[in-house]
Amino acid sequence: MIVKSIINGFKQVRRNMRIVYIFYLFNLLFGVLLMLPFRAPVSKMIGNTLWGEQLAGRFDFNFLLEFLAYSKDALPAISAFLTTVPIVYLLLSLFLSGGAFSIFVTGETFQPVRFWGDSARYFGRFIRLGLFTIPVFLAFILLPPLLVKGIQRLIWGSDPYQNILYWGGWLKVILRYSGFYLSVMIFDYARIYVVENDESKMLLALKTGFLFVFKNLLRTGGLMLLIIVAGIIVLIIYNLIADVLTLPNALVIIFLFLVQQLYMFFRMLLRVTLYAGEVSLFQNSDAEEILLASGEKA
Amino acid sequence: MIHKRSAILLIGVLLCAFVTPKLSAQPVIFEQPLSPRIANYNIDVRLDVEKKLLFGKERLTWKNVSPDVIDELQFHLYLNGFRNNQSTFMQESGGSHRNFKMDEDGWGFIKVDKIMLDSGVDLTGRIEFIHPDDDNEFDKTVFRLSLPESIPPGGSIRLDIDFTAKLPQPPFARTGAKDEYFFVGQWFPKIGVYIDGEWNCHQFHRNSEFFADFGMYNVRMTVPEDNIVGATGIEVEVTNNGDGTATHFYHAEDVHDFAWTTSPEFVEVTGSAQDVDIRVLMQPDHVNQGERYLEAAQVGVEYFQNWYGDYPFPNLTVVDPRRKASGSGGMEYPTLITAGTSYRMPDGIRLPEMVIIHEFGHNYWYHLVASNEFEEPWLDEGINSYSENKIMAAEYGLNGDMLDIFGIKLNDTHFQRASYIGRPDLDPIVKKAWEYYSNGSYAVNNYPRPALVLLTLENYLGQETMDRLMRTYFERWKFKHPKTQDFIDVANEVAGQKLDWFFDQALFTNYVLDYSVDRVITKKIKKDKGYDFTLSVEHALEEDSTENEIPEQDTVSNDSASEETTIDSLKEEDEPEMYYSLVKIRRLGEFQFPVEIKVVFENGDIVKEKWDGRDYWKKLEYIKPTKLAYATVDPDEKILLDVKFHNNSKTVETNTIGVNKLAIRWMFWMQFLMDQPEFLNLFSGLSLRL
Repeated sequence: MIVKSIINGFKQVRRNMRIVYIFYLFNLLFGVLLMLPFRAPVSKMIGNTLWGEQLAGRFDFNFLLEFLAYSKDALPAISAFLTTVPIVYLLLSLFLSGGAFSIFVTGETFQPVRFWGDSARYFGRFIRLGLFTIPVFLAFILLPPLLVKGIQRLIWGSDPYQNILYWGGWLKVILRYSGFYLSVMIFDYARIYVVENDESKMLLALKTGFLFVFKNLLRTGGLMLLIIVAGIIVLIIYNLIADVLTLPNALVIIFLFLVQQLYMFFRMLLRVTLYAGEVSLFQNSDAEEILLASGEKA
Repeated sequence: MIHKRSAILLIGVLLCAFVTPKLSAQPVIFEQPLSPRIANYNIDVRLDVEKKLLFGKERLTWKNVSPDVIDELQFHLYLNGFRNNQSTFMQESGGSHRNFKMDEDGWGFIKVDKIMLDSGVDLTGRIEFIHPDDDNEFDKTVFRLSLPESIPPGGSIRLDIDFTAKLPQPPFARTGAKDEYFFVGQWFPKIGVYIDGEWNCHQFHRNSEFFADFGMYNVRMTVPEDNIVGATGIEVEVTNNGDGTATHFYHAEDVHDFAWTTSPEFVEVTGSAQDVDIRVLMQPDHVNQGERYLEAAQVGVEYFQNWYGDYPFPNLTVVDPRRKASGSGGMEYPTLITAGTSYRMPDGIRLPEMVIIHEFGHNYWYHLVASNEFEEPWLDEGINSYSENKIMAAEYGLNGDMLDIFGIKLNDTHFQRASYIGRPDLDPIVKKAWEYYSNGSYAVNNYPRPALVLLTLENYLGQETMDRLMRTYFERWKFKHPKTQDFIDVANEVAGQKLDWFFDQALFTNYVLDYSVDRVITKKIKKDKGYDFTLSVEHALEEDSTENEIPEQDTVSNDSASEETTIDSLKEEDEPEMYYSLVKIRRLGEFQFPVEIKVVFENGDIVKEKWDGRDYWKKLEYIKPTKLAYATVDPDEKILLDVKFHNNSKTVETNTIGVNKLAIRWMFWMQFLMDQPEFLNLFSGLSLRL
């Protein structure tokens, strides 16, 4: 089922590559937005110096030390951008997901009117859904680490050896990641339910997403895991390539830029494929039965 | 001096020969005293594990080696710094030291129950608390004891002191207890130093360490019989008292402090370096790093002995503090140091190595060369930070000697510069420890800044001269109390030149050193036409030039524009285009230092200049058949005190290739993190290792 969903999803994406382009272009645009307040003070600081050339090769940490020490005027602007732009990006991604899910749910090919129209149509509902999901998100992120801490305290008391804390710490990280991805999955399937049923009750959608994810945990989790693993593999490949691109040469830097953007494009492809795969999984599973069983529908 | 290993044998022989009452079993480490042995202590101390109390009986024998008649003594009671929130230490620290705090009820104290002359005369009533550094009447870290009879020059006094002390919990500001673990430092009534005709006995401050005279210590510590003990000096014997306790007898010679630690949980790792036995006392949850500690200690011992001189003691003990007791970490005592780590500390994070090398270094710069840590803390912390920097680089490589993980390579110098350039001008280096603008200023001016001062001096004098300087300073001042001027005198002597101009600025002012290439201009020279006139720079500049920099004839060199060129050499049709190039160097800080200037032309020509760096600026001009490419001051970044390396060069053409690479890297990671914010969660995982 997982592989089938991925294959179905990928077929959908291939027919609708423009969705990937849109996601990528917005990612690039916001990346540029975040780059500008950084580039300007860097250019002012080293644009006419030998560092301006040398830093095209290996990174020199003296630059970082001095940038942090002497570009304090620029740091508030950078911080402000770092705070606001990702929030706007998050909202925009939420906006675009409405159009993407709509196209994948209906199985139609990309039409700008439908894509942008449905993006706008579902945005308000997705916002409400997102707000409802926050407690679930917090519970999944915060409770498991507290549970680990409690168990540690129960077994080893308030003063455990550092090896207990260390491995417990990694367990917390794993649980936090798991909680994060569970929340994302619940949110995804809830959105799919909203689009598929034109649902306006967001609590019902959230409940459906929740039940669907846990009822099909192996499949929903497996699908997500496959996408994550694919992302990690490509990230490793990217890093291997990027690490050797150290020659202070314009062509090398252009090549590095292309490799970076190819990687980001691939990430967008993975994200959209995940959406399409989740739609396929949802449609091929018995979501309706879940609701009936839960008594939400008579 | 007896060789170290044979010294231990001798102790054994002596012990067999003298099965006599406690204090008469006096072992010998050094046949001839290495120091004046002014303050000598015999202490019996019993530890109450539950109450964290020490019950001590101390016999102090103090010699008056001054030419003065002494009619009072002064003592430190350091543990009273933790007595309440009104002590000078707690007032200055706000209850926090190196980000560690005591428990709410973790107060410590020390009380002199009785103080008597060995003749039996009770002097307890003569104790008077004094506050030589401030008017804090609540501070009880120093007391004065007026004597019924004066001590003549060359005379001595013997006092018997009963005391009770409670250790702070958890260990705070180097000393204290946490459950079964005890690190016991600054724990007994300790006499001050009579020097320069007066008592030097300062209160315990947040930012001060210690100052004491050399002597001999015989210390018997009674602890639970299962406990392992580590202490200054060498263990002579362990006696099981048959009541669940054991008494550990340690002996030390020619040291000026005595600290000890005990815990039933220590795991011992032993080894040696050259002629020094090393004993590492690890916590059970750090035991897998025992070899790492040992290797770092070996590195420290070998480099210091090879570079500076003999470490005369037979042994070194390295203590790994217990979890939640890190307040006792990273500290130095004679022949005993404390370090610190965490479970699974990655090999590429060389914090334990750096700390161990640094703390061992204090056995040279603090212990053997016993400068006054109250009044001139840079002499031990600063010189030691320099030594630490050099050893880290020599042992672990110039690229990433401190941090070498995930492709990030940072050197000790990076960390030292990072600390320094943030606030370089708050204080001069030489100042009393408690008189700096802030705790941060104390830290900057006693650790990284002096290290950078000495690294700059080394690059100025050359490695060989600097090595001789350090070695001479060590040999001349070991077992003595040098001051800053003594270090300067040695530097002047070894360098064969007066270096006061350097030290005056570096140590006694807050001057900042910053040289900058301010302007670089290159212009094509318009050829003059006509007969037999001299080409001057005024004529040479293009008419449409936006710049009008006229060289001053008396400031230029042979290569420069002032060299008159006759038109005859320019009249030929195939004569190459000539360019006028101008470089302006500025001294932006008050610190004056001679600098090298490297001027590079587009055809690869390189001109190297020297400037004494005294004036506010320096102008260099050239006429060459090639354009200027760039100029750089201090091209090899030898002047580590320079607070801005980035303004040390200037190119004629804007060079944004590096800027663009940084920008696209930044942009990529922003793109990635926006799309993958959960990636940040990894940092919490990584922080577990730190």
